[in-house]
Amino acid sequence: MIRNWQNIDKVVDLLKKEQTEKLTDGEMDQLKEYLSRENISNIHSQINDNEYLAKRFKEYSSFSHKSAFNDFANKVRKEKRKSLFIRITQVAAVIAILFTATTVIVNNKKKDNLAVVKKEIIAPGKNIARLTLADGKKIELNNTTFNIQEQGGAIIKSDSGKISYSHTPKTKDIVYNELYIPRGGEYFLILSDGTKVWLNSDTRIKYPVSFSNANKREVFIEGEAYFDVTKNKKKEFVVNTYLGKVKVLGTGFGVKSFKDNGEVLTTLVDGKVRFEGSVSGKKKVLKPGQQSVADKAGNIAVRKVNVEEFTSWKDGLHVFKDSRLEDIMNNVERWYNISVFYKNPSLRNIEFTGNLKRYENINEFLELLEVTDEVKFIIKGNAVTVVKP
Amino acid sequence: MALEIEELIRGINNKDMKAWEKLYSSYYSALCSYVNNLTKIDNCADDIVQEVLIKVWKSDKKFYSPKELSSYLFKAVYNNSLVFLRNNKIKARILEDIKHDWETLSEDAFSITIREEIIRYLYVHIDKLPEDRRKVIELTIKGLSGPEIAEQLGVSLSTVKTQKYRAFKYLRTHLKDSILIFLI
Repeated sequence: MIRNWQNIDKVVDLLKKEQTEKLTDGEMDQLKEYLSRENISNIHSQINDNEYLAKRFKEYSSFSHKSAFNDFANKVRKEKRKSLFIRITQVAAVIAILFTATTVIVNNKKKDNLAVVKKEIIAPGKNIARLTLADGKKIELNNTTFNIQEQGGAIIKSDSGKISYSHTPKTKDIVYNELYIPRGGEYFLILSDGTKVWLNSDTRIKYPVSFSNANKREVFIEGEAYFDVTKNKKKEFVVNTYLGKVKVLGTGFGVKSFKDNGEVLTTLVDGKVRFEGSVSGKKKVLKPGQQSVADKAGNIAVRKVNVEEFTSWKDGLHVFKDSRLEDIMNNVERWYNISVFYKNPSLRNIEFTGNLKRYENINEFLELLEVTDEVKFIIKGNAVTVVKP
Repeated sequence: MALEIEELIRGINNKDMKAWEKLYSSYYSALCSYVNNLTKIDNCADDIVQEVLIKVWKSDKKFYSPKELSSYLFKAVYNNSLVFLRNNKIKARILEDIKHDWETLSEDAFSITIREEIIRYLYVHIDKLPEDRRKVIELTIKGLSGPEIAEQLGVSLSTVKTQKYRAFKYLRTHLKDSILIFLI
């Protein structure tokens, strides 16, 4: 065994597993092989030796993470102020130079010139949403922390980009809440049955605060979301879109249903779902790795896709593999709250492969695309124009 | 559960102070102890670990999983310990002991790293112990003997021994939850 960092992880995992569950024969052999090394066999006895551990815990507690964190916080705060100051001075200097230059050369041109020269940064979205309670009251969520009791007794908790429901229903009525995530926003929702819903920008979802009074779990969506549905064989989970329903028992899948796209995409990561079109009544069952495309005419096509491309946004990454530029931009324009224009229609079809980190500015990603010499981006405010280089 | 970790990782990536405070409470002591065991030199651990964490804060490094984060921190602290030893020429011999070549670790450093990662998991779970067992462990860490703990808690010595035994057993069987370590 090579003593590198990868193998450290492997040994750690196996030693941990040995403490918590029965090892398979293969794992047992592997463990024996590890333990044949004197050093590893020594640490194996150490972690099973209570006196040794007590001694080490004592050593741990001699380091104060609290005071270390305070020092750290002071240092980085100072640093932050310093770098902001440097940036301001730099920007001021650039503006001053430009200002002089423009005054000297063309006396009557104004601010507009500066805007073209200055590099415009397009920042990623944030945790923002608007919650509408059953009585119509609206609450703006912005990393807000609160605890409220909704009609029927459900408890709503909200904390840093997440909102969750726990059910303690007192009435027989089904009480609905609605969450709207604007462009440039995302939010995470945990329904009362534990189902997790990642909500992307420009998305609206309506759901009951508790499912206990209904015979199925039914939600309504417009926009893009990823569902990780809690298993419950007795209560089907149904996602309603404007072109049909996705019916599931317990699974992970993405739904993309923007009305202006004219189609509804359902991408299955694991489990089993059925898409039932509302236009034609056609039904299609999906297997993991498949995607259904329902259009306004009632057609439902099923195709094999790289699910990452459609669902990895929930993990903070946009993945593109031989994707058309137009599809790439459609994918991110709601999150960055930008509008994309193409100077030449053929630019829409250029294919690119790459990753875009969701929590970073889009600029670096666009620059990387420009390196290919196929396209060039002109950024002005929230408008991005694609031109030939 | 998995989500809270994702959020925390996101918080760390976005330089959110709350997330960083959690990072300190679940890693700082373990990393310091790791430095002590690697370098065998007293009083250098705090500086090395603090420097590494500040460097991570200043960098654009983004993490995508708790495992990646954990492994990265141990690796960074390991590398910085080597640099520290190199700068202290007298300690050159220790450096030779630890470092094998650039890609691999010495037998010693390899096993120490494995051990320290596991002990860190055990340590952060102390807070999760049922109260009576936790008290016994906390007093043990403070350096109290069995009879002293029995006296302070007003229980028999054999109770203390059983609680202690059970506490360690609990910590070990909860190694499985180590992925949730941040939640504590």
